[in-house]
Amino acid sequence: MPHKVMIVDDAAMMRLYIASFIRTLPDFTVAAQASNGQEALDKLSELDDIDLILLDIEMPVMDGLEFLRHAKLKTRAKIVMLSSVAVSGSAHAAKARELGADGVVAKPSGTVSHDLEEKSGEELARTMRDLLVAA
Amino acid sequence: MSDEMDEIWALYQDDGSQSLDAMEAALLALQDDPTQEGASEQIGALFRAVHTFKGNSRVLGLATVESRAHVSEDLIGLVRDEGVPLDDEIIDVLLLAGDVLRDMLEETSATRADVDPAKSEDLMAQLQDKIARCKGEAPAEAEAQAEVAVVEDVPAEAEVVETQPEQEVAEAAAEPVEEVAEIAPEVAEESDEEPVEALAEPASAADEWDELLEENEPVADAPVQATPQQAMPARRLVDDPSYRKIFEGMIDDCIGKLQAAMGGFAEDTEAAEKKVKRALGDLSHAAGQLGLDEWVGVLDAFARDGLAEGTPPEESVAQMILKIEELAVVDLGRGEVVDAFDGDGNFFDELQPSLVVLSTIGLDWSVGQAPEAGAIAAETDRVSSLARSKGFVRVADFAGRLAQSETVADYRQTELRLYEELSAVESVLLQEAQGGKFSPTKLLRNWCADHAFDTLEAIDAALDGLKRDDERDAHYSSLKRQMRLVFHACSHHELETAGQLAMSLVDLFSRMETSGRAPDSILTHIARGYIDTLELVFDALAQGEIPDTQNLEILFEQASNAAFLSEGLMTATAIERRLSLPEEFHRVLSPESVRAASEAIDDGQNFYIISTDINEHVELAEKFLDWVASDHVTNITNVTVFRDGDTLFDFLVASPLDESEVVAGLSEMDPAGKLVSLKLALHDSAAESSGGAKEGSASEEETASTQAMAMPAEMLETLGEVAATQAMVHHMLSELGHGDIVGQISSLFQQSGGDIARARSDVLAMMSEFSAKFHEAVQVETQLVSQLTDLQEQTVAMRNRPVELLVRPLEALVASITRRNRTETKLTYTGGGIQIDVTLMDTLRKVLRAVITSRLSDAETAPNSMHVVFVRDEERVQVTLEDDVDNQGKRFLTDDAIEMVSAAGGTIREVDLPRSGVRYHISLPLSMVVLEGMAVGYEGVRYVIPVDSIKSIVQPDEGSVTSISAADGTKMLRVDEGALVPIYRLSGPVDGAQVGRQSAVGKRDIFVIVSTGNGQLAIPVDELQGQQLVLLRPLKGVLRHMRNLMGTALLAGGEVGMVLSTSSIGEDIDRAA
Repeated sequence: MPHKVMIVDDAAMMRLYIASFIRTLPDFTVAAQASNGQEALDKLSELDDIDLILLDIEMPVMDGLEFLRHAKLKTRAKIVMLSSVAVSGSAHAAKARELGADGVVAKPSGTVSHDLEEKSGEELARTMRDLLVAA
Repeated sequence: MSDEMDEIWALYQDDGSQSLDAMEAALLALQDDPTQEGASEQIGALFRAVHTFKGNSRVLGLATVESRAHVSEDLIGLVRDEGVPLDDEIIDVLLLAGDVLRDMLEETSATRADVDPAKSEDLMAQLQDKIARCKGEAPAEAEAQAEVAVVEDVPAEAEVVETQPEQEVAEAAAEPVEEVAEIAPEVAEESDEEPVEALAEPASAADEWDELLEENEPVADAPVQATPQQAMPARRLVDDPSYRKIFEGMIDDCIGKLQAAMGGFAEDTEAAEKKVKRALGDLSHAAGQLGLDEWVGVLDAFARDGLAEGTPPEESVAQMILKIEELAVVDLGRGEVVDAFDGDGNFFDELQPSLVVLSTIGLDWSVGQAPEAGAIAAETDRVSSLARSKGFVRVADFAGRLAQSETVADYRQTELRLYEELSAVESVLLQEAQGGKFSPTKLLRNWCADHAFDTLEAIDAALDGLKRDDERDAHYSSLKRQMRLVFHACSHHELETAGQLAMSLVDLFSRMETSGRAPDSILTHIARGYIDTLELVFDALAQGEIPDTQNLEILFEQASNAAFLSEGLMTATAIERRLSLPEEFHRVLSPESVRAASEAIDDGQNFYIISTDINEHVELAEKFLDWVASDHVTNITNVTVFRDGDTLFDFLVASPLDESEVVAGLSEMDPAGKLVSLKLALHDSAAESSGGAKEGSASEEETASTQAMAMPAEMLETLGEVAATQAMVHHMLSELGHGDIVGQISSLFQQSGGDIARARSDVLAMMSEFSAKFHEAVQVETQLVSQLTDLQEQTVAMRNRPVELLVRPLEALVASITRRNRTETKLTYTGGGIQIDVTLMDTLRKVLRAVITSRLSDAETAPNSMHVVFVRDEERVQVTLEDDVDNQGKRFLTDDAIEMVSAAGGTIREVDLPRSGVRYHISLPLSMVVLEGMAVGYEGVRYVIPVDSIKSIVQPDEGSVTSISAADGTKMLRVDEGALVPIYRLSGPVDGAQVGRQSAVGKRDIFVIVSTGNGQLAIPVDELQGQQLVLLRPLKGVLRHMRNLMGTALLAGGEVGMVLSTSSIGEDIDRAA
């Protein structure tokens, strides 16, 4: 049974690319998508079997950090911050960790790009798998 | 976006015009016969026309226009819905209203701003007066309360709802005319500042609400079926489940907007305040229609005064959200709204007794008193149950795990985790937490602060373990856990940077763990530095002293750059600085991005920021992504930009393509340039300062890059030599300067005891020694000049590039244009080997680009071939661009090209060729070249004459100057060979008449004879200052327009000399002749 993933990103393209990347991983499936934190919270209240959330930081309505703050209370799903601004050791990454992000993966250079899989896919897939194994 | 606004305004004008036409047509039809069959349809059409016009005006923030339309609509509403007879007076005043609104439509369409309300006050007064009289009110009263009275006269609002087909009367109740007028300036201001926002937001809230209501209400123009007197018993709209559902959605929408606005106060208070007021206004509007008067009162009061108090706005808005939630509970029976706690008591207070028991159990257990069976579970079950009822699953989970603890250590750790989860809940339920007596966050932080030294010790142990590389996972896990505890301890002491650094380290170690590697030495170094510093900080705090936290800032900087440093990369900060990246690109470069950028910098590539609006345009997005993934573009990174509710991306890319090629590439994707455009061309400051290569083929770029890498070291060595030599000269001169020669001579004479011969001998010996030292200083100074010359030449060499580097991008440009125009042109060149300065090259590139682009723009006359010839002489670079197809009388030389050339002090001409084709002559003065010059002075001005052009320097007899009567008295100088050479005077405006026309020639006895290419000139000078190497600088400012000068140069002694262009002078003289 593949792990269910929710993608939260305001960029439709980014959701599309992440989803297509997830489809390359046989042990994961995209169960939901949301374009901002509020929408994701709403969906999360309806879907209680999400295993992992891939979360952007900069989004309208409710950003990723605020979503994290709320979602971490009410879901057991692992939350991976997938953001170009959450560079290793940066203030954004630190804040994400503080609020309980289980993983932080920088979006690949040229975030919205075809080569997501090639550039950051390996790191993302490993992070996702590590978190779910640890769980 | 401006194009969108153009469309919207055009639409507004078009729709408005149609509405007003419909209004007028209906009124005229009714004027002919108000009782005609179908009059009700006409009235309905009239109402809809004005209603539409009002709505459109509202969308664009035209409050005055809206208010006039609104009152007109109200008057029509009385006729349509309340049986008021349509008399001539109503028709006349509405016709007047139609005219006024039409004028307003024209004015607002032209100015895109609201109209002056004063001009239509008379209309307002007439409308209000008529409304008041129709309803039996006194006019004076009507002026003050016209709109309120509409509802007040109706026995029950619900009756209006039930019996009137149109809700606008109820809507009017929520929006008194005075209030609309009062907010008009603000709305207009908002419209100016945020036109799109002002458009977008009502559409998603109030307008949506109106639409929804319209969907649910009776047909607007259906015959009136009931009068107020025949109304059904009172029933509020809010009692209707469908309306309630819609309204509840609006509540959530409003709360979401308020929450979003709260985060905006720090950045832009005014904008955030506007958003709050708009959100509340929309909700109030809807609440008014539902008959929720208390809501309207609360919301309007807050919108009016809520943010004007001394309370921080975020807090006020938070309280407002709570108030809305309370009202929702009371009036709508809503349960949990967002994060509201729906229990009877305070969540934390209710937990407290169990947590106290659990804590006591832990303490007892730690001193050896094991808990009784079931004692823990009894309390954890309660905690779990309470948490689960609120959906706090993680709190429930950790409470459950606490019950399963088998050791006291396990128990204490899990208890801490439980408190961390509760602290997270507290951070969300702020009001709940503030209202309670118990704060898990405080307890957690206190505990962590109390145990800080133990925690630091545990981190040290974990680092040791990682160094040994045994049980790596366990050590990683321990280290991350302890770092979190340090974070809480830092929070207790309000050590923000220290706390942030703790979480940065958690992030860095986590990523390292994910990568499956042991931490590298840099990361370990930072972590150890951190715990060492924190020990001192905590110790100082414990002693009541002020801790020294300076080192933490350094460590944080190191942590931020750890990923780069560990890979031996240039840091992100360095890239930001070198490329002068805009703020939004700061702190977003990943190691990968930095690596890509570093490589691109080394390759001498250009950097661009490209703004894209492709989120909703999949096809264009595909094209763009293909482009950034192509061989000639490297995508460094991108950032998200929110603009007017749209999500845009700014891409930082590197490319060997120059700016025009990039623009051409983007234009192919998006010809209109609306969605994809070049935002900024960046420059590598380091490359510019060192003359780094910017263009060229791969091999040439490689060479240039190698030069760029090698030359600075060479230059540094030369600079070192210069500095050392200069120090030596300084030392020698100081020594000589400090010697008291007069005193020493006097002393020698005294010592000689009157023996003059001895004294003379001693003085001579002393002077000889002094002279030797002086000569030594002169020699060293000569060496210094030589070194400086080397340095200057190295600098110039670094800046020189073969001009053929221009050709490749030009070929690409030609290919791009011809592909687009479906023509075929081949570009060839000769003379590509000449070297010119990069700045000049850049100018030449832009000029050629402009000329070629223009020449190829017309497919009809596009040439089959273009040939460029580059030639450089001592003063200028001459370029001819020739093609082979008749231009049919068209001119292709653009103002841009002329201006660029002129700005560089050059000339450009377009010449039709006799057979067919066009030739462009471009001449640009050389700049930033080192030349050997003779510095001369004439009438107080310094000039430099290129040594290469000097034939001789003479001091002739006065008789050597001859006046040639056949040449209008021109004075000539007879030189040794007997030849006559025109005399050219330097000062004053330079033209042919100057030649030989100086009355005071006889007083000048030095002439510099120079070659002009076609002949010679004798230039009289007052003095010769000497020969020196000078760096030719381009003419700037007003000097740019001076003729016969190559540029300026800094002379020894700091003076600026004007460098003569002898060939240009020669041309002038030839022309004059």
